[in-house]
Amino acid sequence: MTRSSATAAKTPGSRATLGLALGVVLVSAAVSILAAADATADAPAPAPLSRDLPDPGWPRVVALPDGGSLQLDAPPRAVVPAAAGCVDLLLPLVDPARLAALPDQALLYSALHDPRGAWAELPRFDRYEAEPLLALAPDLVLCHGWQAGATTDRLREAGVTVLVLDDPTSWAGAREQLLVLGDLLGEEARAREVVGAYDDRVAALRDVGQGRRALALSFGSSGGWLAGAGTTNDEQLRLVGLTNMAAAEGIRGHQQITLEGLLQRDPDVLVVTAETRGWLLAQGSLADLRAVRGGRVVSIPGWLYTAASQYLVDGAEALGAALWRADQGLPPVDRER
Amino acid sequence: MSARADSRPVLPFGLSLVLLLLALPALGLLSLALGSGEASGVGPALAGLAALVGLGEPLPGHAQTIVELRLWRTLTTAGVGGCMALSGALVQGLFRNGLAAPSVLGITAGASLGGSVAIVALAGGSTLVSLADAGLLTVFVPICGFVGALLAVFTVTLIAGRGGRLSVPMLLLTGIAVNTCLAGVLSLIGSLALEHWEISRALQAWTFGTLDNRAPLHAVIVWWGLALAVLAAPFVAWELDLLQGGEDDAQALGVSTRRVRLLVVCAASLAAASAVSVAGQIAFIGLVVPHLLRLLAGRAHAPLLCLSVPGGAAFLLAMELLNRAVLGEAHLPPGVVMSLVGGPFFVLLLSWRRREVESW
Repeated sequence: MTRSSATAAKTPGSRATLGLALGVVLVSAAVSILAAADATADAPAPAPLSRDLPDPGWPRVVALPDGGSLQLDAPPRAVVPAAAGCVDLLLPLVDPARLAALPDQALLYSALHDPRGAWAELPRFDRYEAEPLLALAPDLVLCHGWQAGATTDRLREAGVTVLVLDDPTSWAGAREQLLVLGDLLGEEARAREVVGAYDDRVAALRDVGQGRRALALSFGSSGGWLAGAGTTNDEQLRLVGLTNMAAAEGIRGHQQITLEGLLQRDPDVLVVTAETRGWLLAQGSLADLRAVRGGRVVSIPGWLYTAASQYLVDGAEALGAALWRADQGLPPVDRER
Repeated sequence: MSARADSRPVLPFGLSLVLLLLALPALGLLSLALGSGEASGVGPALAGLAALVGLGEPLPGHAQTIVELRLWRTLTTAGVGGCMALSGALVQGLFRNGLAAPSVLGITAGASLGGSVAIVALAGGSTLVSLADAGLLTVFVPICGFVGALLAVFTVTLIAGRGGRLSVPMLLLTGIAVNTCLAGVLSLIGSLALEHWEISRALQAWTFGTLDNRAPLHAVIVWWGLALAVLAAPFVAWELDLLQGGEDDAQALGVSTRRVRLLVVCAASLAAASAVSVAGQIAFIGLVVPHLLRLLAGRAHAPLLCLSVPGGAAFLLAMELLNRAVLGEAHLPPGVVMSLVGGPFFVLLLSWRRREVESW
């Protein structure tokens, strides 16, 4: 810095700039802290489990879990699920003839990873954008809250009924959404049958975890991610009787974890996908982990690990089976699907 | 404005160097010691280091492994800081402009594109974790980042150097154009991957930069790059001083400006590419640290280049220590921290040098 510029730095204008810069730092820091604090805020209370049957016939008004309602003049015949989770919720309720298209995501993240027959012939789209969706002439679009709000607005402006769903993080949440969708689609009896069957399966899940300390995590090139409270993985651990160490620490949602953090927690059981299992076992630095030494790095298929629907119960069943095999000293059955 | 006025160092060069060389191991030790559990504290860190070189028993439980993981992270952090600061000092000297940074040559954008292409191409229709399983991502992302950075610089110098003359304004403008193109391709990749959350998340993590879970490979890449880049410093330091007075004057004094430009571009690129390839984009170190060191050691390039390696290493180590001490396991990506610090610093810099900038 020269003398003249040093002098300039002491002028009122420069002091204002200095103040502005410090302000930017303070505001940035405050935003970061608030964002971090928000991640630890309490989750909303779960939706009620009981639901009255809708009035028969059409048009009908269907009550939504958020307290709102949706009116439909006739049973939807051209439904467009805009995300993999929405596809999963629809799968047990409707035949493919009632869908107008499928998102490409469904092939990676939903139970429909290997579509056959009429499912395979459905048109596909790769983005949640109004123009291609309107070309499908849908009468009901299902999307998640994290998807583009502007697209939802354009679709509604065009007269399309759009139902925005939260990502369910528990069986109770998925159960409520199945019942709502059943009412909306005119498949209320089928929805109650599916929910009943899943209720029985949840009740039949055995306490194979016996309270052991567990972590559910994934590792990839974006680093390691730990599942805390309020996640589908937390629900899966709970359903088989494992104690989620991350949730017990007060972690909510998914949080990044380093190998050091994993070593310090040293869980009894590690719940991962088949791919993460291979990666973890290849890390020499993790060889002394209790879960690695005890052969309790158990994996479930990736699409069940990320399932935000009733299939999280399937994931819990797969987890229970994998843990049982590990406890019996049997080799794991790694399967991607 | 007198160029000499601010060339007087606040501290003698020798004292500055000694202070930085003392600060560096101290910060490194703190980096090894900071954390929770049985491996926290200076004692376990020293004992773990001693055990690593065969001078003691390994720490019990997982403590020894944790110290080793911290060691690779610390070495990578120091190397990245040193590389970026050295690269920044070289580029600012070449452009005769204290507001230049390694990204001007397209290094950062090239490395980002290389790493992003590796992530997307290797991921294909599968999930990323399967690549991690094969160990491919750990190796290929830094390597592709490195290649991408060098290709970007090669493209910039090739276009700017057409006709056998590598002019600085042409280098700057070509760098801006190539940066814009690369940013467009990066945006395109990000846009195409938007609906694939695993790929999107990996791309975003690569963009923010990370120093977590570093392996010996990362430390080796960055320190080799730094060592090779440092070799160029003695051959360009005095010449860069002369270049500050203008190319014609420098040539009249016997400086081969073409050789100096090529050496500086190669060294700066190698250093920055090594850093970005192992840690992702960490902005502003190359801009901020040379300025801090000029305040300390004056404008002459010999001391500046010499101090930039320990200075950059100490700076990034200190920022990471602060980040981890305050936020613990929920620490921010280093790229975010540096932007939060570097952005306001850039505003200050513009303010301090308003008259000079206005005269451009």
